[in-house]
Amino acid sequence: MADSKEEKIKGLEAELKKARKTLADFSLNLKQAHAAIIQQEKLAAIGQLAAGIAHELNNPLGFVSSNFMTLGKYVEKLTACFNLVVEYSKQDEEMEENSKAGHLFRYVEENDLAFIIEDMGDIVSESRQGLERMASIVDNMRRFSHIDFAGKIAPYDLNEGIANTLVMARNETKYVTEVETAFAPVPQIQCRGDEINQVLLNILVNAAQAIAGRKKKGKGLITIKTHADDENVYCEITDDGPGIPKAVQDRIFDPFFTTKEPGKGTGLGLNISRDIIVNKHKGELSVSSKKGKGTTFLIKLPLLFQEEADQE
Amino acid sequence: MPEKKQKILIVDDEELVLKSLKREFHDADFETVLADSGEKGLELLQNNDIDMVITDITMPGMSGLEFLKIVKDKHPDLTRIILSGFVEESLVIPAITQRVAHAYYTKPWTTKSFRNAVEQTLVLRKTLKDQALLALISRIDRLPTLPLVYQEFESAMAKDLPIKKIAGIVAEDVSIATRLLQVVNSAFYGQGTISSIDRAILALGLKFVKDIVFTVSLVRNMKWTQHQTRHLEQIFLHSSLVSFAVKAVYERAFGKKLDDRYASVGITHDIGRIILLQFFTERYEDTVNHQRANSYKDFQASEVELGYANMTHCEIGAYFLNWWNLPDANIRLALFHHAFKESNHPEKPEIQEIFYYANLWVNRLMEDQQTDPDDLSRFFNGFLKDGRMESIERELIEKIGQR
Repeated sequence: MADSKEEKIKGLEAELKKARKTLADFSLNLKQAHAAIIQQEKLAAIGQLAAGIAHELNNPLGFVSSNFMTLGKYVEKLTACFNLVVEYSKQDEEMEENSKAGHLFRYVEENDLAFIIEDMGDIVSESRQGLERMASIVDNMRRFSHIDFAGKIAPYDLNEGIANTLVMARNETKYVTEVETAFAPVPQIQCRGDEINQVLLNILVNAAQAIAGRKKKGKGLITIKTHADDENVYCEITDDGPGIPKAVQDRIFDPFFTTKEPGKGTGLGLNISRDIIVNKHKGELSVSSKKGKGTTFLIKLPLLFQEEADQE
Repeated sequence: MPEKKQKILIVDDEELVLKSLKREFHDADFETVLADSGEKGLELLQNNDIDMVITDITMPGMSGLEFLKIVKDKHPDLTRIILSGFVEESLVIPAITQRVAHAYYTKPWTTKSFRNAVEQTLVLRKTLKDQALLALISRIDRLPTLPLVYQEFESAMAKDLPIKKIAGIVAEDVSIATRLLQVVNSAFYGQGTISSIDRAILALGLKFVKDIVFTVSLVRNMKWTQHQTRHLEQIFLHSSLVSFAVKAVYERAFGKKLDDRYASVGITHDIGRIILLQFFTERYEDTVNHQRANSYKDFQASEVELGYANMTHCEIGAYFLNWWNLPDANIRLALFHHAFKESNHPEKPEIQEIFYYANLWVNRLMEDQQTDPDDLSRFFNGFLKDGRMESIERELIEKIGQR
């Protein structure tokens, strides 16, 4: 009798322990999910903001570029006119101190108008170059955020996505590393483009930070390759940073795992990336790394988005 | 009496945009009228003889799309163009497919190509009213109508149906599907061959496939003699190769995707030849013979020499594409693919220029027309890296060989 009581208590204790463990697991999962949601919403909000700014900038960019184009035409005509005036006043035989031509000539000399006229053309063409650059940054921002299709499954060109993402990551990469791309022609795929771009950005920024953190001097190298077969498209991003230690490699996709200094990383970047590639797009995301040699991330994405394609 | 100048109305809530456009068009052959709201724009339309409207989309009060809808209702004749910094494809594409707008351009606009587009559209308006052309077209007994399959395809696209569904519309019709895949593969730039419609859509994009569906189903609805079929095959091959060349050249030169609007225009640019071949077979053959007799002269130049100026296959094609309400880009390239304005930017050619030379290139390789190869390489090597022109040419020759 006593025995069975004791057994009962033991059994209950074990059950309680199990329940506690389950509760703890649940609570951890909940915490992770919560953090991931907040992080993703933050990213989405930033993306939306970026797209909004891009749209807002397009109006002033539009008329300023147009005006500079017109100004360029004006400058050309004024330059021609200026040259004629100078030439004619030189021909004026009575170019005395007080003649009108003499007056004009002195003004031209004293104010260095020859230089101004020449420089004016340069100012216009250099400013136009600047405007073109701004326009392409804004355009990239818009394309990167994929705001037109945000959250929607739409045709997506992987090579184009990478190119857009590279522009967005330029600030992180340009002083620490060269970036080489080898794009094979790939078909468009069905996916959520804004999310895929987020994964690409994540991996690129990680790579740039890894390179920046190594002890070697000089610029690093990130190479990005794409290719496709009948079923999937592939993207391979390789850096020549310090590599990920073996012991840690298994954990890099875990939530909250980070090797960055406190406050520098959330530990969610790669976790969310895996969620996007593996769970949401039925693709694969894998890593291979050698200490001291560098790290390669491989993304594999199916051409057709099965889940959605089969839906009514 | 001097010809009356054409007029365009520009609507934008941002005054500085209006002013900059007015400046830009100051020395153009047309007049500009400005309005800072859709409401004011409608007022101006009442009292002015306007040929074209260009409008922003996001404006306080009446939006650009609302404005265009009213314009379409009250003045269906006008050409309607969107110029907006806020171009959401999900907003604009339905506007284009429902013909609320004929074309859209994004801010910031490229001065040269935007003006070029505006000017060409105005020329197009004149061309389509040309009496000789209208007389010629009135001789066609039964005007070819927009094919049913194409209409279904388009409305599925507008409804945003999944790709498999859209592909299904075409796949059901074996004769169209087979022909479509044949065209797709000769126009496809990339690796491997494409064996299903949904793959074709992913590889080439929906708009591209839509234009192929259009051409293929249009031709299927007509009756062809064996003799005509031979010519028809040539036209199909030519059209797909031009598409291929334009896309390959553009993407290898600039490392980015060719805008969807232009990716497929190669497919529809020679619709005029198909119409000629079907309804004016003798004239078509006369022209081909004239070409051959004159050391493989340009097809359009031959038409002009035979007395068909202003009603060559270019005008005929543009007329029908306009009648069927295809997008502006398709119509303009059909009309202007034998003529272009030379740009002074050797590294940054306009798409129309690439198209012009691609057309010559394909004609030379298909032995339809003699073209100076130096001319071609001078143009393409201006912006293609070493060896790329040769590699594209090899692919073209291979595709010709396959047929």
